[in-house]
Amino acid sequence: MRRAVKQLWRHRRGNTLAVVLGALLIAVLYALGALSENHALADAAATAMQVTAVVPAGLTLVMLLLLAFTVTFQFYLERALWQRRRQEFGVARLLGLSANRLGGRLVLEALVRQAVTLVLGLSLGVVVSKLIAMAMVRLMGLHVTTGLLWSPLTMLELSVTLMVVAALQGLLDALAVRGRDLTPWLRPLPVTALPTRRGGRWRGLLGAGLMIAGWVVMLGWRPLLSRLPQQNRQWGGLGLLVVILSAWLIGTYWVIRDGLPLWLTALQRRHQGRWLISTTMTLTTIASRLRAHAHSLWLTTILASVTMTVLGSASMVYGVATAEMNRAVVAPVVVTAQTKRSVLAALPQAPTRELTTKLVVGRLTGGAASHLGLYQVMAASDYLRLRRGQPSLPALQLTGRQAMVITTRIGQVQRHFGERHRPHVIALARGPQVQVAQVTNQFPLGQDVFFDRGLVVTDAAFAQVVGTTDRLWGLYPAATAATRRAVNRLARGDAQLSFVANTAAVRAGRQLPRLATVAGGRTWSRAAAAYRAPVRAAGQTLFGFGLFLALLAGTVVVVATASILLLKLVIAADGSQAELAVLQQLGLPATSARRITWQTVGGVFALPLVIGVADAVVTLVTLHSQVAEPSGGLAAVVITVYIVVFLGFAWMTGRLIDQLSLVGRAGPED
Amino acid sequence: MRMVSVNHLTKIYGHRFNRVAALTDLSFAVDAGEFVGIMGPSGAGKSTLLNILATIDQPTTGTVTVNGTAIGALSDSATAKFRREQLGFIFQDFNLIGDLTVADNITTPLTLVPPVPANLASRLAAVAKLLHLTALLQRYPAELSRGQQQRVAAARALIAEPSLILADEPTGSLDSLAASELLGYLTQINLQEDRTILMVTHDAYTASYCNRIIFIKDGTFFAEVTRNGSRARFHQQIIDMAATLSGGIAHAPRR
Repeated sequence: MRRAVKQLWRHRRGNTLAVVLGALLIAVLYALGALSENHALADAAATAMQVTAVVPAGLTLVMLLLLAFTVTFQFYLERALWQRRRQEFGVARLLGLSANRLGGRLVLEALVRQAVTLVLGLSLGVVVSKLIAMAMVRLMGLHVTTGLLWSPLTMLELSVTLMVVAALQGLLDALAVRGRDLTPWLRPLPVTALPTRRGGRWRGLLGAGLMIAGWVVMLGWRPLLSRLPQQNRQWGGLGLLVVILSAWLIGTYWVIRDGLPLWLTALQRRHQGRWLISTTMTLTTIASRLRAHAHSLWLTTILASVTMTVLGSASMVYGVATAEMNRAVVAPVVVTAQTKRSVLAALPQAPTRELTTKLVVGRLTGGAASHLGLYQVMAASDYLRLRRGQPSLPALQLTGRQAMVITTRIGQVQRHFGERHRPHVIALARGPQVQVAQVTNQFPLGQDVFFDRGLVVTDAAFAQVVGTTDRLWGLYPAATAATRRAVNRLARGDAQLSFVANTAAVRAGRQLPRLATVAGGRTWSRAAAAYRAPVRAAGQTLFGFGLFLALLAGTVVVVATASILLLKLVIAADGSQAELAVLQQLGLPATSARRITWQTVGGVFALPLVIGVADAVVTLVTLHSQVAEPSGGLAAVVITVYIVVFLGFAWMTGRLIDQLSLVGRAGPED
Repeated sequence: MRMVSVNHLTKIYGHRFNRVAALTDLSFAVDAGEFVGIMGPSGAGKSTLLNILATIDQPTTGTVTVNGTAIGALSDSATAKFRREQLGFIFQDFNLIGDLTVADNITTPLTLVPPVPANLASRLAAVAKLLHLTALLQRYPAELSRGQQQRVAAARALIAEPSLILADEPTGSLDSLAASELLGYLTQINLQEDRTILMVTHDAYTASYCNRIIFIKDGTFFAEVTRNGSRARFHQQIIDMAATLSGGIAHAPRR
């Protein structure tokens, strides 16, 4: 045991990093486990969401995912530390230490290190659990107070699982030091790898082509999908996604392993004899690191892309969903003819605003697609009257046969990347053909009480529309406790729906849409009454929980991936110090040597960041075109935070290499 | 013209209770254009002397002058400048940068600080021609034989046209054929380019390519042998002096 501790101390640089990062991951795991067992929090969330077990289930699921990630991360880190000591193992074997005894020591070392990591991680976990709980409660809009979370069961589960993992790691290390031929052990690992010129250039170009093609296809996702027959779109979309992902994965790998090292080398060769050695060394060292750590960099790049995309998308979806929820029910209570009587009985004094619409089927054409939908057509004068009480509705600028479409699927009415511009028109089954001049996702009175889409036309055009009259009423009761109780009581009651049969006759315009209270066959449906406050509370809790999980998982992934890169570069720097020392002996100023270190670190860290940001932006732009009035601000903030954290790790790596190396100390200042 | 002047050089390592004198009152001189060898048994202080001449180490007392510059009194930036402009290095393990091509390795001393000389290409071509490296310029060190690698190191030492080339056991990692070839090149550099070379070596055969050998023992001057006839005779003289060095008496230094 004493020997194991001594060995761990001797290699404390790598081990400290492994312990600190492992402890951070364990702290988060513990906090998640302890949170999932907190009954007060679960009950408050269940009450707000009106669904039980969502919070404990979600927390447990994310905890399991992070546990799998932690185990992978620890195996990866362990292999890096093991590689660093392979010559030492070779010498020990050469001097007569048996493979069994050496293996035993390695198992013991792994167990001791994991035990230290667990003690540190679990202690930290108890402390940060309160902070994490506070963040979760804040995002979910709950009113619960929590102290430090104490969960012996979670501690036991994590300890047993991770000690078993450590034992397995130690066993793998022990198995790896077996073998009779000791010569490979005694040779130092090659620090650099020469770029392969043949084939590599083509793979690099093909990789870049695949990456760019993936982005272009992603940007033109919707038009591509709309070209497929309706019945094949689901599977076609899935197939297209698989193809894009595969192309992107392969392309990224080839670009990192072959393309970039060769291009950097070619760039350096083109300027041979014209650049200073510091620039030449920076480029060649970056190329060498890319080749030598192609797998880690590829993995880091994928994780960076996925994390940024998930974080950005989650933020955007959170913003959109929250806005959508507010749009869905604008008035405190909205009723249809079906529910008017019963709701007014409960809220007799409430002032009302009425909206008269006509239900009619219409076909939207333009762009690359054609969509049949059920429109609730309203007159411009009615829309403008309601807009006075609902200022978020866009201003209306219609003339003649122009119309404004109200839909959540704004993507159907927008021009997409790669599409020719063709104006969108709607041919109403029984009424005039109108041209889409404006599009919004803001429904007068709220979205829930609309079947499919709304359509605002001029009063003259409205008079020509033949459709089923459908009236909606917005109720604005005084904000009293009695009203709140009444609304909550109504909201908890059986949800009533209205239906319109989606028959061939209706679609063809031979028959007018008919309102019904029961579904029969294929139908369009809507809520017959909508209540704002309860829906809002449930939505905020659910979306806040989703954002919390995404942010937490994203934070863990960014810290772990950047740490792997940090460790790899610090280990690689050990090997390249001799080269910098030679250059300094030849007269390279210490400032230039330091610049080479920093630029190399910056270059290597920039790669996953640049590709990750590009991927995230492409995905978010695609998502942006699919959702109504997307909220890109929060996504931009989250991605910026990610970039700052990643760059922070780059700075730490540069500092670490600077401090631990002879660079800047052995040589003179210029 | 005096190229190197070493005066009463002493280097002591360690602290008050554990002092080791690597060099003790060592004095000698090297004239411009000489090819001088430094020989001595292990622990004689050869590497310490070379490190001080290379400005990597500082003497405890004494002075070293190279081409009229007292190197102990240089500031940090002046030291870097001195290394770039006055010294060329040939190391036992070549110390080439594995990620750079042969051409980049050779031109390194000229690209350490701006500006990059306009005639870099012609200087590279000339030095590559001299050392028969023209066909290898775009290769990487790992693609060369050890002899070729040491020739690249020699070309790197030569390209900046330094006043003094320091060679630390340059044939130590080479087989006898490659060693002879390199020594032939060093002689050519010394004679044709008129470069002063100071070479540390253990090997009497390697030392026989020099004009003069300075023997040091226990950090002090022991003897010197000057070539006055054929290389074979000089070789024999070196062997004799090396034998004397093992248990002999110190000879007076040439000042």
